[in-house]
Amino acid sequence: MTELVELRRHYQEILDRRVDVVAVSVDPPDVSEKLRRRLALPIRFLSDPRGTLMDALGIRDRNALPPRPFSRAPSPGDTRDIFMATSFLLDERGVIRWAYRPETYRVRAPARALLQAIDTLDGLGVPARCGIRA
Amino acid sequence: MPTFLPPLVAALAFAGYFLPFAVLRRPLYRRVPWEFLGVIAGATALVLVHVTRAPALGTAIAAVLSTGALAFAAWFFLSFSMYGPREDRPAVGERFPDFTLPTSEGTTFSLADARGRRLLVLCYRGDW
Repeated sequence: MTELVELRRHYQEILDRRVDVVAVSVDPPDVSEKLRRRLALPIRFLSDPRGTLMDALGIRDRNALPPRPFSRAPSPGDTRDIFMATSFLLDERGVIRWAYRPETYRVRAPARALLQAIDTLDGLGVPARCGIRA
Repeated sequence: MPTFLPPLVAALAFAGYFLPFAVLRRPLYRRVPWEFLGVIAGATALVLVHVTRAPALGTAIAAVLSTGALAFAAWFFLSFSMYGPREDRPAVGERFPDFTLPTSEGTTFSLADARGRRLLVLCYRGDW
């Protein structure tokens, strides 16, 4: 969630660059809605509890949530799998133009790298490193 | 040198890494925080030298605690908190997979809805 706090700090700059934002997690919609209101972030929060998109992107972090009773209890049938924190910037045609795939959950996409990537799409600034590994 | 100082420094260094997350809610952008590991290793080295020069039960306990802290920090930073292997697919330049997912506001969102607009997709780990 740290990346969402970081996003809130730079949201206006991203908005000024005409980029829509969606945040995806395995959390159910009601949990995401609470987070959206708490962060006061005017972006869409999407729920992928079965990991359909997670698997299409190859970023399923298996058994990443601690087992019960140390974490919020998943519903029966749910797994403890969650997303590997990953960011993608898509162009108008849905083509990936920048991706940030850190090797550890302690690292999230820095706002400066994201803004630089957007500016590169606009033909401004120096080219951003694509497919960066932290 | 107070006997308890090296293990205390080691523990504080490990806790200090998480301070920006917990207090400032700001992420640190380093794969391996070498400076924190360095402080813990330095404190451990100090107490190991001390225990060889002046063997005593207190310094031996401090040495064991410091070495344990170093081993735990190294395991956490270099192994436990790392993702498993994965392919960088889909790659930059490839089309993002189509999807339709429910939104938190009770509607649905498809990638097709965003066509004609640039889109930032943030995959996050949940409320933590």
